[in-house]
Amino acid sequence: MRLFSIHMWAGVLGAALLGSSFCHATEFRGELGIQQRFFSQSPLQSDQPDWQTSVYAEPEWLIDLSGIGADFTFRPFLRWDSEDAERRSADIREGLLRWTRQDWDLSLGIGQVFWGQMESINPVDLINQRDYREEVDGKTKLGQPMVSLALWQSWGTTTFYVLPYFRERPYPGRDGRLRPMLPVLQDDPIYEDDDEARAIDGAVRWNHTLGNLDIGLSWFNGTTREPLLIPVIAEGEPAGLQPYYPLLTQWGLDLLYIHNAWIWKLEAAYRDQQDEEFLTMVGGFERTLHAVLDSTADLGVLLEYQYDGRRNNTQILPQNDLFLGFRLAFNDTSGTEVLLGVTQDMDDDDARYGFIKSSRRINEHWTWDLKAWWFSTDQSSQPLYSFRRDDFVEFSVKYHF
Amino acid sequence: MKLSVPVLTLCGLIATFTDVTVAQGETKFETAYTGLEIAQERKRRDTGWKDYTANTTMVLRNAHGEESRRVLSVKVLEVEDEGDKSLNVFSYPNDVKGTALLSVTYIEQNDDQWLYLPALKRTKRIASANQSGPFMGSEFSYEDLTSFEVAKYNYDLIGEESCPEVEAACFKLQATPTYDNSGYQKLVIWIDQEHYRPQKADFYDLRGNHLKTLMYREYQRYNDQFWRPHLLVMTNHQTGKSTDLVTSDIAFGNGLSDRDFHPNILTRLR
Repeated sequence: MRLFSIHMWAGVLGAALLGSSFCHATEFRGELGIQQRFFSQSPLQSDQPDWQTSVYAEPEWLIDLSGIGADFTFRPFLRWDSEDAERRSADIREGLLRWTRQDWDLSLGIGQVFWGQMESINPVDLINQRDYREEVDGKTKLGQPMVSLALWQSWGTTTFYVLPYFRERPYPGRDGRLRPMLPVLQDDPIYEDDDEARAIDGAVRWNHTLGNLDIGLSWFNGTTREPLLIPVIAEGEPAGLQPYYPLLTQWGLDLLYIHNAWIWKLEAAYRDQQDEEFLTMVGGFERTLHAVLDSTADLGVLLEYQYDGRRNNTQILPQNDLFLGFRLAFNDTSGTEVLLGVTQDMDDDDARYGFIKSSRRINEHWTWDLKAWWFSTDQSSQPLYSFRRDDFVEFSVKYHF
Repeated sequence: MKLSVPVLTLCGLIATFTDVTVAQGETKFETAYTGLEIAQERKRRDTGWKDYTANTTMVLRNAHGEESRRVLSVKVLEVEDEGDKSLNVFSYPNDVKGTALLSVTYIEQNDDQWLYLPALKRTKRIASANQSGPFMGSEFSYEDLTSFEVAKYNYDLIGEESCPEVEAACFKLQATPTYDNSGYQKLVIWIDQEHYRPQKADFYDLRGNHLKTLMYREYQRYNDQFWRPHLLVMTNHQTGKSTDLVTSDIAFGNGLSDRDFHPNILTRLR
């Protein structure tokens, strides 16, 4: 993974420098941030911290390469953390050369792709690896090397992806919180595919808008982004969890139907991996109430049911769970927003987790955000069990340029 | 007298009409033409421009005079006999740089809207029913910024008088929204009789209280036909806040088509 990063950095920087020699316009933007986490309960292991301070930078260059009729986006990401060595990391979130024409788009490099419609989790979305060092919900994703071609037709847009390099899932390290009790042996994964990370994955997605309906159909064939974590015993002692990446074929469907202030959504993925075929899906709605309590604020109420067909796999968090969320947008000059969410396990009354995410603009360059997460379970068979003492509050101040 | 009426779509932004209550016992203003005919002439004079692009700066001012800015680029496609399509891409403040809002508007049904979040590369379809919600924290609501369509209001001509700021005669028109979810009981609009351009609009909230006033200033004519105000000043009388909306670099006839306003276009932005 590190080797890959260095190569990609060199390649992308080289392309950027080469490109800049015949580019017309460059736009530079991005953000810097400082983040403080506080864990309210003592850790499970004494070497885990209660306080964690971190800084990050995410600049972005947009370069017009009119000489070759393309544009280039370069967006590296750098984070430093006071406690967790795994969070001292660098990634290229995007390094993408793109040709855009009337009926097609061709992209080459490192890209970010989002598929799906749901708010809580997105089972259909799997082009990019999720970065669990960044956010406990994995909403931040690693850059994915790709070649993609989108064809625009009157009957929808069809996008083909060739994914020539696999990115392993990163987890917080031994000195961090929000990790499995045993350390994940991140540098020693096992693959089902003999070519390991160099295997070439492929995917296709068709999407279309038909009046009040947005629809997407997708297919993926390659190595799953979601590893199984296998306990490893060394000298009679549990030594860690080894990631195992099986091969996966996935058929995906995502739907959104809007009627006035009601939005109905569905994401369903039919997966075939390790000789097992199963469905994983999320379905629900968002209902928006405007001008609540005679103010200018909007309140969105979200309800999403999460299902996974692998009922006997204890590593899968969303198996039969219900997510309830409230999104309050104040529509004020500061852009103040609050999202509150709780996910309840329907098979186990005592297993639930929740979060609050709020953000606000301080002035035209600065914003802050405040997040809090809590996890509750008594059952050692619950995947949440490793997080049971990791309730935390995270406060960030961000500078946008 | 021949009727004509320009529309004021600024950016997906719009404009106008308005109000005026007829006081009890007052007789309705008698003329050879009706409020509806004036609105139709306004629309007729501002039809056929096909598309335009522009840059917009909004200056938001609170009751203490403190200012903040919003900067966005705008593309608008004219759709005859229906609401227009618009694509707004924000460039300031920096935390919303690259965020885009695509609106496909309708006269009767709710508009279709998609929001593009550049950091996640995610296009989100959003509920548009909140016509009366503030646009980017400004004193303009979404309904103030959508295209003027005749069928969106019922009209009464309630007077003819001097225009508020220019030396010209104005029609004074009351417009009552016919669409659902409007935040207004009515608008009173002053439209000049020479070019059928709105000059001023008073907005009345659902309780009938005077809420906001919009002044249309710095009109320029494009293609010898289409008038556009380069400055709109919206003042909220209930909060003391105001927003200036400054439009520059207006360019008509860019050859835009439906394809440029398809939700998938959002992933092409950068």
